[in-house]
Amino acid sequence: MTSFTYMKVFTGQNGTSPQTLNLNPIPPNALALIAMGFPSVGPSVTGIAVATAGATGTFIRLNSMNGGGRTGELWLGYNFVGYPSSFVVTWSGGGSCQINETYLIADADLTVAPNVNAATPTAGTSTTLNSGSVTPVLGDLLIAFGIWASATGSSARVSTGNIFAPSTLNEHNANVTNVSMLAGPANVAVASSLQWTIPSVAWLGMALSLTFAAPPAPVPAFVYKGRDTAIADAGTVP
Amino acid sequence: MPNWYGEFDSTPANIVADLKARILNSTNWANISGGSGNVMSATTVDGAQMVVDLADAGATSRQIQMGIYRTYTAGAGTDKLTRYLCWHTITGSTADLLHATLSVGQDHLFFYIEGPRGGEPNADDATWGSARQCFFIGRLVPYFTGEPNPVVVSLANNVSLSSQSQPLVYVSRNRANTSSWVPARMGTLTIPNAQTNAPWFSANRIAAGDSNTYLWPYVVIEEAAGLRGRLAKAFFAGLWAPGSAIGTPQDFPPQVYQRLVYNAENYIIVLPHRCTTTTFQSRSAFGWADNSSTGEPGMASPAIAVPTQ
Repeated sequence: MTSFTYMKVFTGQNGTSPQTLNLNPIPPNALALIAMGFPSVGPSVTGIAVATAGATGTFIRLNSMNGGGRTGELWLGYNFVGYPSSFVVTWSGGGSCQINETYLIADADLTVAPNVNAATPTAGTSTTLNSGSVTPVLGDLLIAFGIWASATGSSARVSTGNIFAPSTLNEHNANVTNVSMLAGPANVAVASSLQWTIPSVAWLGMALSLTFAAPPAPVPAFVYKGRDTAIADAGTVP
Repeated sequence: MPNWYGEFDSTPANIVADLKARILNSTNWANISGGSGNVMSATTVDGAQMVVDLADAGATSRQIQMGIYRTYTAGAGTDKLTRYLCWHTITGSTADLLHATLSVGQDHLFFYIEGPRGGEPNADDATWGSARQCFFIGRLVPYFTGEPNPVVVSLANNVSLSSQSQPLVYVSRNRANTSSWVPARMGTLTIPNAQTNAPWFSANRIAAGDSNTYLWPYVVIEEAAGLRGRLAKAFFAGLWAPGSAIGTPQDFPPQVYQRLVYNAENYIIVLPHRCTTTTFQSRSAFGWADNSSTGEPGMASPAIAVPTQ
């Protein structure tokens, strides 16, 4: 069973393509969730690249949705090497984009892509935005992602099934598009969804569960001894 | 197996039984009180006895109370140290969800217990969850000859229902071999800093010189006798500060959950603390990493490497 721990929710940013994200250095055992919202139907994210010299990482699109004059895309970054802290997001179709970033750390093999199980995105105009339901495998990472046609944020969020951790809430807006994302571990294998309370506007929502590979084999470590001549530490490295 | 590591959920009503079951996954530990008793014990490679009574007093909805003994025979312990582990600032319920992690082997016992997380019933804070405190007892590797071997070190919360763990550790015998459970402090390699609000950060522990990952030792310094030795089975792996400022100075977050091999033994990096408000700080002798001032309380913690199977 994979364990996940909160790492960092960023404040998000807005701008035109390409957008550079300067964030905290991300360690190899962390994954990045990048949620994007466009105030039109048509733009498409073409890629996210590591821009830190000497560092690498892999980004994949988890899912996308459009309707009601809005487009949403959710991307995952993994397999980070060299503590990257700068990323460039590019998209086609023009316009501005609201970009929200969240880091989580995972007890899993993050050198390979996870299996992605995504519910069909939902759309509506009521005051309750529903992510749709997804049934995870025990130990999955659950993600709820929603966008709506308003600069007003959500006033409440209710989890069904597993809990989408409130500490991972990343909700920001620009261009009259609100982008909201929460994540959480799947402690039980039951249908899970999230319901936001929002203004009565056009909205889109989706839920996903990601199944990560088991942790990789241990790698060698050494203990740097401040007193390496002592009997107790003789024979250790260095 | 000698070493065992695991993460599990429990409740205040079940936590003692759940801890006991996990501790006994190590073939080096035994229930020396027998049957339904809760006195767990192992003998280190140096011959020291580690004794932990998991239910010195019954667990409440907020904490467990442990009795730590230097020796224990025939149903009676000698030189008792009372320690607590608290996960709530509110009363909560004995049915609350607890999240625990435990590492155990011949030379150590480490565990932490965290109260309900954000969104779970009776969390101290609906967004940020509840506290996480840790307990550790383990072999001390002496730096000098003539030590009253063996000695062990323990650390945990020394005050009932306290929101802050103690920065001291206690050595089971002083160097002169005349007193038990003498206070000591732990030092390790980190950024020299004595300024309350100075930016604090982690150093990169992957050396380009040989491409190896390095951990730092926890050195035990007795208050009366000075340098004694180092912890055998726990190492410093950096400070976890997700709320710290970006860029300057550069931060290198520890690789939490990373598996490492040291001296032919597997280790895993874990975060022993968590707090939710300014009244529940992330402190123990493993490190002080008080809650962030940038709107993310409680996510700061030292990172330590402990054995796993």
